Amino acid sequence: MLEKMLNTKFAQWLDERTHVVQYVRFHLLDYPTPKNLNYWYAFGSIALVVLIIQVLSGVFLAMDYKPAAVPTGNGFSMAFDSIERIMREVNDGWLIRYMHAVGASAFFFVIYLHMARGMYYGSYKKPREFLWIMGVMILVIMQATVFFGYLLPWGQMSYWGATVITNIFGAIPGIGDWLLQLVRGGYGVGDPTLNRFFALHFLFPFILIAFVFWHVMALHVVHSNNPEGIEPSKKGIIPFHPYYTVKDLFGIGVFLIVYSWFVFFDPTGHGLIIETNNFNPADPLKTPPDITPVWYLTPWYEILRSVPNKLLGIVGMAFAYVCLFLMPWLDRSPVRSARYRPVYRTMLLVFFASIGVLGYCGHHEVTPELLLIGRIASLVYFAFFALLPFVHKFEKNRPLPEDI
Amino acid sequence: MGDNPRRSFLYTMASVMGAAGACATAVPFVRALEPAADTVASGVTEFDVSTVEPGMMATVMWRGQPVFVVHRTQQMLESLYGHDELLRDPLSEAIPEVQADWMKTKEQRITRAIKPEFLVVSGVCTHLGCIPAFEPDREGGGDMPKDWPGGWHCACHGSNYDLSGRVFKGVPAPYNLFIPPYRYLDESTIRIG
Ligand code: HEM
Ligand code: FES
Repeated sequence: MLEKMLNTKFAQWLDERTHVVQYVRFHLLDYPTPKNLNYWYAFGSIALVVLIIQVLSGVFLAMDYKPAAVPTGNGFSMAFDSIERIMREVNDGWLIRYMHAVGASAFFFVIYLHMARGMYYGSYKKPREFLWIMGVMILVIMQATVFFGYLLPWGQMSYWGATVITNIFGAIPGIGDWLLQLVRGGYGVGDPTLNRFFALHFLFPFILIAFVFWHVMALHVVHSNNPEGIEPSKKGIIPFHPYYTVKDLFGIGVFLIVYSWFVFFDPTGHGLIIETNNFNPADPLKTPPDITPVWYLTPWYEILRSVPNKLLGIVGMAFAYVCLFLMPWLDRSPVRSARYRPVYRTMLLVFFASIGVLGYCGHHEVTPELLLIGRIASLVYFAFFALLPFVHKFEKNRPLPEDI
Repeated sequence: MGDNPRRSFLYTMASVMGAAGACATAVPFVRALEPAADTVASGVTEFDVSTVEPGMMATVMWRGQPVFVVHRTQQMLESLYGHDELLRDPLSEAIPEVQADWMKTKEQRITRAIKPEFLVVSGVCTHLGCIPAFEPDREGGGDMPKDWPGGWHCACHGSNYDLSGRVFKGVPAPYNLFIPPYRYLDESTIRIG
């Protein structure tokens, strides 16, 4: 049917004027892919679907949301009330809101698996360094986007999370105070902050879309890596359609089932997707005892928290991202896939575990024990990158196969 | 093209002017992000400190953020001495925000108040801006220094301050609690800002 559509007179007419048919063929149908891609390779397509869900639900939320912290009759704020109105009065507003909130968590879940896949199969290595770097940039833009979005409901966690995170800018020597007021538009987080965060939360997804587009374009220059991490021969190459269109659609289907289950049966994820305290309106006089970001930001937050010095904590957190950026050059082994790299494989699994531990600690109130565990996990995180340049010197690779 | 010196000079000049123009255009956008005039103007608060009972603390809103007013007892004032080596900045010398122009003697640098009985400090943790909890009687030990004399504990990342708002060593907060600009209008009324 697709073939027929692309062969109609109209399609041909359009193609002569703007090359649509050629693009579809090149990027979607004939695009050459290794034949051994597993389901880990579906997360890219799934992430695209989540992006669409977020933009769609977000635009509809924006039609009823009011970005104002000014108090209303009941002592709450316009922003908080407008979210409650979306939940109770707007037809199916609750559904759209939960789609958006669960979508944010789903987005990070999918992206983290997508990244882990890249690390495991060595997809960050030559010639895909830039693809990897763009991925890390996408992660940073996503984190900025949710950070802006999380302020919008103007609940306790919104307010205090934004207070703590914006204060990070204040630690930059020299220009810190000025920068802090520039971000907040006032002395503390307040109405001007909410207004500009809404504007930015609306803008950033479109920057994200531009980067995602570029990411896919770059992929189509260097082509997909594969679980074996070796260059396939001509025999190992198949067209994207119908093989991976079908495989990815199946993956998307499974994802949507899990996603819908959360939307309908556990939209707050027991406080992980929407933190329980965020159903309380923001109170600038009462800091909640445990301010923690949502789960997908906690590992980085925990690195910040485990350093007993404000500036160094922030430097440490920034450095955690820098390490990710540098990964293609830190790893010097000529072998890509962890399947054939026993030492790297163990290191990588320990590294993933350290992120899990950091995430757990960052989600709980500090106690001396958790602080210690968080510090050890931070060390493990950085030790992974510090050791990376030396692994190939003593690691014995398992023999690589001839072809995929 | 590039070997014609006049032409390449013109290219350079045009690029420099273009870049300068772009920078100049950025100025109003950056200025628009800074606090607006009405936000800046809303920063004056008055408060009668005699309404605070001895040993108690009141929280006053100033510029949308809390300011702590503590009525310190004689015993509380005595608790400020003898733990200098546990403090990061016992004499409040690190940055201008932890000082005030009336802070002249060593005594004033320790009590950090115009009238020693009434401490007026910003209620914003100098780490990342949480509001520390007032714990005048809490015992030391556990996650606190052993001989902690009482003061504020910030639950966010575990910073501790004494009853002059001076920060302890080994916690993430870098500075003592800030001193907001204030003066006495009469015996007991202060104007903050
Ligand atoms: C790029 C993907 C996006 C992500 C990861 C994201 C993330 C978030 C998050 C975490 C929240 C707070 C959720 C809550 O507590 O309910 C939020 C709220 C919101 N977002 Fe987004 N968002 C995205 C795209 C968009 C877009 C494109 C728009 C509009 C054009 C939008 C509009 C809104 C609105 C109006 C709210 C407040 C309503 C609410 O809190 O339920 N978002 N977003
Ligand atoms: S904000 Fe008080 S310790 Fe971090």
